[in-house]
Amino acid sequence: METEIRNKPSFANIRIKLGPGDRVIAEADAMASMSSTIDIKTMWSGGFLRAVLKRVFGSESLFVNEFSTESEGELILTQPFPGDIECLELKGNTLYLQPGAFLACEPTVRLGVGWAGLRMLIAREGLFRLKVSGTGRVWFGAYGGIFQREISDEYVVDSGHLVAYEPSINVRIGMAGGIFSSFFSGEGLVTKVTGPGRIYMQSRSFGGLAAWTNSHLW
Amino acid sequence: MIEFTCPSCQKHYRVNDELAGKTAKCKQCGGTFQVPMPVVPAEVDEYAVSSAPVAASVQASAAPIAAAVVDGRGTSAILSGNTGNFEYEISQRPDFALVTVKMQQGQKVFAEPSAMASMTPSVTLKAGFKGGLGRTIGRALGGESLIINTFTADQGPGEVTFAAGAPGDAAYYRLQGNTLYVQRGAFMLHSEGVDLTGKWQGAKGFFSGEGLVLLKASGTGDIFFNSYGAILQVDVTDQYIVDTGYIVAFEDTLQYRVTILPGLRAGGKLKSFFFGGEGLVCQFSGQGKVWVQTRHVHSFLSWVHPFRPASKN
Repeated sequence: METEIRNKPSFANIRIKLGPGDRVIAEADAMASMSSTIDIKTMWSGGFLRAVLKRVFGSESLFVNEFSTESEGELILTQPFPGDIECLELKGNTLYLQPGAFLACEPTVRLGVGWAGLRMLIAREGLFRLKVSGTGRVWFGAYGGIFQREISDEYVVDSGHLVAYEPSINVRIGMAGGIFSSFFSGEGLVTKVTGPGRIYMQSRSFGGLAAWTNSHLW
Repeated sequence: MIEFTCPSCQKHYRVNDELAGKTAKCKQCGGTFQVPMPVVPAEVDEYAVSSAPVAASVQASAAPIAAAVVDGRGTSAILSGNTGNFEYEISQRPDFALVTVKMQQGQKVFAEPSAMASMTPSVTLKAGFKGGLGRTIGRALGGESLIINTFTADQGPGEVTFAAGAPGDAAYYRLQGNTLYVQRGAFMLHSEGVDLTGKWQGAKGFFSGEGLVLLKASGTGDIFFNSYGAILQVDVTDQYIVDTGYIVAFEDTLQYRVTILPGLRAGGKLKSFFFGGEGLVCQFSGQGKVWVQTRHVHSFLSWVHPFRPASKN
């Protein structure tokens, strides 16, 4: 199965060439176009219960589509918002994805929901996080460009900028500065991540876009 | 495209035709040279910026120092360098520019609220009214926040990344005792040594509506500003006209005057009214640089607005 991410970083999309026996699982609305030789099977995202949990708490879709073919064909997958897409090859390791980041994976990748903790609700990052594990490729997207940091001890990420992180990363919510500074700095609550491990961030946030738009509407 | 090598260090360059005859600085050895004239008849470069207007040349780059020479893919390159104060990198260009600043212990950076995307814990964030009451109100008149965030690397060296809210590019400018005017909302961050105040536009500001509200940055230091869309740097040598909504920043060596677009002048206010409030332009004269953004906030909003949910009472 040959894959390629094109039109980075603004309008990134995944082009997948499927051969006989190849299968790809993708978010319900991710398919933009495909060859007519490709079959789609819609299924509950990780089982019924998990799908409902993810839908209600993780703002992921209820269903995922499985694409396969008996001959060969091409498939284009996209994401709802402008931005970058990253591909990661799992080799038995695990990755946590923030709600909305998951796009597609190979069927050997296990999709699960993990409890992120009540504190994440306070930070409006979502109560649940998506847990991807196993072996195979997984694709996730972001609004903005994706950049990563290898964290050895601690790092501060503004809320809304965290996209994905390894399970060795401990995430907690903190204030950007003192009480006055946190309130007036416009940063408010931030995510404090403790390593060692790798985190993926997006260079724009929905909150930032909304604030920019609203500041010009009066 | 013009292909040539630096006369002193033999570094290979490919630059756009517009740069022919210009003096540029080598990225590698720092030596200055003149870009040669194109040898072959100019071929069309898909990334090149469209034709330059009379008496002004446009180049698709943002930083005045690092990007005097544009690479083959134009604006998509990562801009990085050392400002003398700190190392910086502008990545994810031009769509979602991210400014990374690497600070030494004890260094300070001053930024627009909510511009921070991430930072090391060795950096402390403090919000405050900087520069006294007059400056604070000046900034508010300039359309920026009353508050300026101070990032201090007080617990060892650290890095801070900054991102704007709007999709677009960012650029770096080094102030050397001169003054730079920055359009409302375009200011991102500045280093120590830069003085940021609001500039009361008087009648100029009044007539241009929300189109031209400026911040004045002066002193010696670094300033970063962002745009909605890509940033074009224009070297004005005589006269140049920019729609007020597209101005990002300009040097104060330029005189400027806000007027109605020359073509609309005959019909006066009426024509301008039917034009939907558009048609206000800034007329620059003299010598200096203007940075122009390739998208307009208000055009975006009027495109988006009909789709926004509205509560009907």
